[in-house]
Parts: sequence; structure tokens; C-alpha cells
Amino acid sequence: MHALKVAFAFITLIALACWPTMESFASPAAAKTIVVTTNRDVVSSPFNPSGLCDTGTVKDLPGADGQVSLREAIIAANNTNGKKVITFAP
Amino acid sequence: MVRKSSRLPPSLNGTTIVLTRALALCGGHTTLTGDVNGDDTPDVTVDGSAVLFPFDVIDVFSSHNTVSSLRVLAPSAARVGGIAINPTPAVATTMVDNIITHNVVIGGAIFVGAGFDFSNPDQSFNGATVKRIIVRDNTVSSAPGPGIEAFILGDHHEIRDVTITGNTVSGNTIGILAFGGESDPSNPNDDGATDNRLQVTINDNLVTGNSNPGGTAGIALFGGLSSSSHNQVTADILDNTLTDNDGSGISVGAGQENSSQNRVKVKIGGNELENNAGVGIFTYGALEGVKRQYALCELRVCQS
Repeated sequence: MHALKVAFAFITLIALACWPTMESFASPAAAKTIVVTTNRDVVSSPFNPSGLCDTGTVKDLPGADGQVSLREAIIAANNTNGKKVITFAP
Repeated sequence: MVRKSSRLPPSLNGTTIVLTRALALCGGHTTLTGDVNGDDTPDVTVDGSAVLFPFDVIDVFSSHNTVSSLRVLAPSAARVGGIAINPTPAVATTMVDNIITHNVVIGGAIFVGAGFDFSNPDQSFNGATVKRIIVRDNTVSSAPGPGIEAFILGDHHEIRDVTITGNTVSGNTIGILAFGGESDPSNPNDDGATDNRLQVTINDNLVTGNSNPGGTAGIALFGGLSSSSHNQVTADILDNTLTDNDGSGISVGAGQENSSQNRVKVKIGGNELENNAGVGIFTYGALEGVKRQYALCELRVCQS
């Protein structure tokens, strides 16, 4: 019984150790979907209109106003790796 | 019992987004779709009436993007497009695999270009590569210039595998325009575009009701314009329908306006031309003081 517990703990440790790697393999294949929720052309914190492409990532959505504007969605897509799909609230 | 409610955002089906400035796709691998209900038609309007030169309403500066099913209102201003695929050195000078499809663009063109520097619009840049671009099933109307345009400014650019197909282009000055090189209109000291390559297929488009009296209103193709030289354009112009344009239907020229040694190789076939005000199809080597131009044309089953 003790041997079984040790084996289970070992497998669990291996799985936990591998999780970030597995996630990073899975992420690029699946597109991140960004849903625009407001028709106002606004940029709220932490998004920052700066230069041609601006700053802010998908992790920053929604901004401080709790909404996602088209501009924020595009800025987030610009600064986030992998495939992104921008749609509008149905 | 406490019930936690989660409020869904209001539907944006049918909405209009009024832009304060241009939108830029810089990061790549992005699909932007305004098709909310899945019928391949625009359900969202992007009003770019306030967008100013040098930008277009939607500028694509990166690779692997799709812009689809948006209704785009452009400001009807010279050189300000509705949607543009156009590398700029601040982001990238090589762009591949972009698709513009099922959009309705009003008051500005769909551009595919190279050599225009958005950060420095008075000075073209050199050496961009633009490949595998599809402009398909869009409706473009009321642009102050061409409805769809493939262009090159500067030197040593390559644009190839551009497909312009299935679009309806109406009410513009020219329906579809493509050329291998032109002097930068923003720079009076530009000495012309040199050593560029453009390869484009223009097929199955409906080009109607465009107006350029005395010139070409349908589809125009040039090797070099305005002091440009050594540019090469390869094109297929096939199976398009050109009707009721106030100007000539299809024109192909190697060079104009003091350009020299440009080459155009084009296949023209299967096009239907009806009720256009000027010449149906005409091709020429050189106009207006140019020399050593070559326009190699193969015409098949052309009706005019």
C-alpha cells in the first residue's frame, strides 16, 4: 500500500512539473477569442495609445471600464502571441 | 437564497463604431470579423470618416491576418483607404498571407502596396516583400480614386501572388488599378520607382458604374508611371465583367509620364465588356515621352 502511495505521489509530481510545458504546447494551436462589448472608441487603463501599435495585451482585458472596445481588442491582439480572433457581442 | 446574476453585454449586431483615428493590425495572426450572425455579411459598421492621411481606416502592417465582414466607411479623401495592406518599416517590411474578404467599403479604396512609410509619409522606402494576398468578395464603392489598387512606391520591392477576385467595384473613379512603380506623390523630389516586381491576378470581378471620362474607368494596369523605370508587372485579367463605366474598359500600358524600360506581361481573357464609354480593351507600350517599354499581351475571347 505504501509503495502504491509513493508511486501515485511521484506521478502527480511529474504531471505538475510538466503542466506549464503542456499548456505552452496547447496555446498556439487554439486561437484566443476576444469579444468586443462596446461600440465606443475608447482606450481605458492599462491600455495605452502609444505609437503605431499601442500597448496592452489580452491579459489586460477588459480595461478599467469593464468593457472591451474594438480598439482595445486590436491593441491586445497586436501585443499577444498566437492566433487571435476578434468578434463582436452577439 | 442569493442569486448571482451575470449580465451579458448588449448585442453589437447592427452597431456602428465611430473611430477617432485609424486602426492598425500590427501583431499578425489576427482574424477580425464583423459577421455576428454567421451569414458572411457585415453586421458591424466601422465609421472612419475622421481618419486622416497618411492612415487608412484599417491598416494591416503584419502577416497572417484576415479582415472580414465589416462595413467600412472611409472619409472620401485622396489617398485615404478603407482597408490597406501595406508594410511600414516601423513594424515589418515583409508581409505574407493576408485576406480581405466579404467587406463593404464605402468612400475609400482597398489598397495593397509597398514603399509607403506611414511614419515618414514624405519619403518612400525600399526593399519590401508582400506575398500571398487575397482580396475576395468585397464590395467597394464611392472611392475618390480607384476602388481596389495595387501600387508600389520606391525601389526594389516585390509584390506577388496577389489575387483580386469576386469583388463588386462600382461608383469609383477607376474600378481596379495596378502598377509596378510610381513617384511618391508626397515627395516632389522623388526620382521615380525602380526595379520593382508586381504579380497580380484580377479575375471574376464585377466592375460597373465607375467614372473617369476620357481615361480608363474599368481596369488599368501599368508598368511604370511618373519617371519610373525597370519595373516588371505580370498579370492575368480574366473573366471580369465590366459594364456601364464612363471611360475605357481595360487598359494595359508599359509606361507613362517619362518612365522608361518597364515591362508588362499580361493575359487578358474571358472578360465581358458592355456599354462602357471609351475603348473596350487597349494595350500600348509607351505614352507621353517614354522609351523602351514592353507590353506583352495575350488576348483571348475578349468581347467589347
